[in-house]
Amino acid sequence: MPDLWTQDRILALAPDSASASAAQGLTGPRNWGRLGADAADPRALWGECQGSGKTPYQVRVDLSEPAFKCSCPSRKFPCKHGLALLLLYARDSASFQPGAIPEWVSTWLDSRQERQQKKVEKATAEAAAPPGPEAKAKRLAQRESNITAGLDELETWLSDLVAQGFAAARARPASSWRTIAARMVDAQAPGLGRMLRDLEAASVGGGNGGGGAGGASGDGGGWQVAMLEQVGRIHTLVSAQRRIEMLPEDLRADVRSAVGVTTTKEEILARAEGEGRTHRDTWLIIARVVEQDDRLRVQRTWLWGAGCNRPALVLDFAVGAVGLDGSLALGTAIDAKLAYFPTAALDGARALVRQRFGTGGQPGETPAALPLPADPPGAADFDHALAPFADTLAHCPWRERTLLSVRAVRPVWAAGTLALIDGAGRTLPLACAFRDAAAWKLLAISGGHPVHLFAEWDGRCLLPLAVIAEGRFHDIGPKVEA
Amino acid sequence: MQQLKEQLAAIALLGTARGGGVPPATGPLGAMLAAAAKRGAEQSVLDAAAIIATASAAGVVSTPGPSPGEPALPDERPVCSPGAAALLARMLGGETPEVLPEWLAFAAERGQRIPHELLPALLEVARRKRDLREAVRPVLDNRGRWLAKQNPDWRFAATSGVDVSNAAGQWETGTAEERLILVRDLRAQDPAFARQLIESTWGTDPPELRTKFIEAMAVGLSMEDEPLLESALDDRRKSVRDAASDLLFGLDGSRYVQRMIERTKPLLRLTEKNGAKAARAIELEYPAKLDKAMLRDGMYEEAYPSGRGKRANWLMVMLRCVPPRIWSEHFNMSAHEVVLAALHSESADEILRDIADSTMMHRDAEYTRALLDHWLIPNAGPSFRGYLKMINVLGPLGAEAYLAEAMNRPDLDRPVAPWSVLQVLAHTWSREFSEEMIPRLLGSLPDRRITARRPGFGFVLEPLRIHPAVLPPLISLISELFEGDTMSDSERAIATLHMRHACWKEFEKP
Repeated sequence: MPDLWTQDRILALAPDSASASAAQGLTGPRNWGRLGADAADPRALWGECQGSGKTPYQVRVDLSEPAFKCSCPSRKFPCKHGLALLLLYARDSASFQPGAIPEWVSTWLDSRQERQQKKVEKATAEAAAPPGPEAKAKRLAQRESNITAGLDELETWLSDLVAQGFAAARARPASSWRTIAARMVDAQAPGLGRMLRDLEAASVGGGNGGGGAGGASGDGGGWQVAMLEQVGRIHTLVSAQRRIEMLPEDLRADVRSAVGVTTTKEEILARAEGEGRTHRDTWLIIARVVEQDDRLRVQRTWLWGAGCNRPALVLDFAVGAVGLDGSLALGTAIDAKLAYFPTAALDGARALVRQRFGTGGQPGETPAALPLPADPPGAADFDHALAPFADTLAHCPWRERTLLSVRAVRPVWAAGTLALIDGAGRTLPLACAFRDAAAWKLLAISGGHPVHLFAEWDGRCLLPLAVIAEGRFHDIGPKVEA
Repeated sequence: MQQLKEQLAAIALLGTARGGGVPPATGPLGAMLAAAAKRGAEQSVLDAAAIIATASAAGVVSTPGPSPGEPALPDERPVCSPGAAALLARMLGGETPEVLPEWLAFAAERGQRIPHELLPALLEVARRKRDLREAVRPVLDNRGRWLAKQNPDWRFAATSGVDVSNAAGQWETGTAEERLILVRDLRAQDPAFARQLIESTWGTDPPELRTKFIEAMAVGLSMEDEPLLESALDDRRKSVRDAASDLLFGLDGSRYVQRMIERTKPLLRLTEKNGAKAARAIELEYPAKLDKAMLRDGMYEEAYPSGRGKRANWLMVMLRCVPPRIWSEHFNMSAHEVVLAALHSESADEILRDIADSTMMHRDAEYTRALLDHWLIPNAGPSFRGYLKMINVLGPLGAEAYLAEAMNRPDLDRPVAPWSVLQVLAHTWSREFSEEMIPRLLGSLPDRRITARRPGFGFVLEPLRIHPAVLPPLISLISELFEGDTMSDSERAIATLHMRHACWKEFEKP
């Protein structure tokens, strides 16, 4: 178990870099009183950490998630004490004496269990009797009418944009772009607002994910092509939303989520079973990206189904000093049932972990993280790996990205840049975000030999996130500085 | 598709108001675009953009890639333990970087390599810190060298040594820069061969390069190099002559040193006061003028940086060059007696300093002991702190034995604070010596608390190369002293000691 908790993995749980470095400073034995664990292969860890006050802080960690609790007044979560306790465990698990659980630990563990139970019960109850279906329908209708009003404006704006030309639009002040984006947010279509902000970024030649910049992409034509494509995506969504009543149920869900109508996690969890959108598999927790958007951090965790051989995406959001969900330990596997968000294209779709199973395969057991299989499923070459995404776009053109799993990819350093070539000697453009440190790390890990590659694909370029080389998992994704 | 996209983008760039419609295309895409074209100009461009955006994202196929180069050969060494790798990763991430050389030495001693994923970070550190490069080389193994070969910044690590069979060829075809690098690398490996290369083109190489070649010979210097260096004293260029005399200066047995000895001997005399042997003193006579031979040996008329007068300077240069054992032979006295006689001299400080310099240069153990015996006595005269480092002349075992014995001598009841002597030890202390010294170190703090809290304590503590095995009691004791102390250098010192112990423990594990 301790080898599941590497330093990197623990520090990734920190809400910001200050907490991460503070935690590392608290790992000296002189900071800590007795360290305890409930068993040799523990679920719970505890320790007392001497802070600036007289009484030491009581620090608790539940390893199954992990979850943290500390008596310190910090508003950051997890706090530096919890992280430090976990770091100590990772560095020297032998210093944790297995023994009886003190009361201040057991009360917390029990209350957690209780809360967990209530949550599931509530979700089940809500699924059985949705609260006021009429009220809900009324709310939805109101929202649709708001969106429709916004769409009228957006269509006019798009027509003007095309009639007057991109060159003219590019010369406009930034505020004029912001106005239409803000208007979409007001019209309860934040998804469209975000697409318009990306369009603005494309107009100044930035673009999301690299596109033509840096010469890394085969997607020539520069900003105007990037802009054309983004206008096309917006137009597709506007047209679909216009005709939403005529679309099949699944596709309607995709349109709504692209426009920005959200569904609560509880609702997804409750409805998925009845609507047949769950899948139990051995899910490899294979790749992770964290993006910083102003104060919001978005974490994309990619799972790969060992049985179904396709990716699923678990999203997590955190604002300010709150830590991101760390319950899915990168580089491990779980036996779990996922609940998908409704969609017309399941491959690479967003999902939630509905239930995790213990090694005995029965619900209710303590869930355990499993080692990654030595030889996970993957496509033989890039073109085979790309095929499912073409299919996904055919069903749901708004899907922004997917994860590719490709066996036997070789990194090659040639003419001052890194290229990835598959077994057939062919290559795909690499994202600008993948460079320097990450590129050299990948080259070092492979030694020019084939590795199993997991990379995000957005229809234009590859962003390598993880590899398995000689049976070992390596996270090579970009790291954000909080 | 690409062409279509660019055509459409060109239309959108200028705006449909200026004319232009959706370009024609073939196949199913063409049919879709044709259907779109039936709507108004703006709508048809928007529809076409929508179709093309999705179609091009869905329709990407791979392109032929560059041909792969030779992959790395299998590594020859086993990888270090995961625990050791985790410690290395922490240090490469900026934690206690001063322990990095010790980690590298542990790994090299055990014939281990580092994990592949840490290679770029370690090579980056070695690129910035030149003095780490030698320590880094053994733990890179084939994978590390393969990687370094591909990054011009890491070229220093690309080979495990010079390919001697190829060196003669490189010597003939290389640029000045490349030939200098070749000589530098080769001197560490095969100094004689490097010298032969230098000699082979000596007559035709420009003086700047000749100077640098001579300077490079400092590595692996031996009497075999003497003929070339001696002849370089007649070089037309002063910088070449100076570089050669700098090297010959320390080459015991060279004609150069022999000339210095012959010059100096008549200038030193022993005087006996009242016939008492114990009161003998060395008296100096200064050289009267600079002759041609002295000029050839690198001495000059102009003022010397030491600030002494020029005749005093000439003598200083000569005294520093003469191996100290010569004085024992010349006066038929032991090292101790010579030091004592120097002390009684009117210019005691100057003579002692010059003898100390030559002792360190010629690594004379007997004179090292004699000088330290004298300087470790409190109030022995002016501070010779700068010379304490000569204890390393005795080698690790000799230095420890000397110190252990010296600290127990009755006449050294209050010796120089052991902190300052121990700080200059250049090796990691043996376990036994460490165990013996720790109580002394702690005992020498008059008031532990006050001393410990003094800013700079961590800086005193940190350079001590105590054996990592015996650190924990020291760490806990110091931590106690520092309790509640937030002085950054004490925190740092404790973190360093922790890391040193952790590294040792990790590599000691079976």
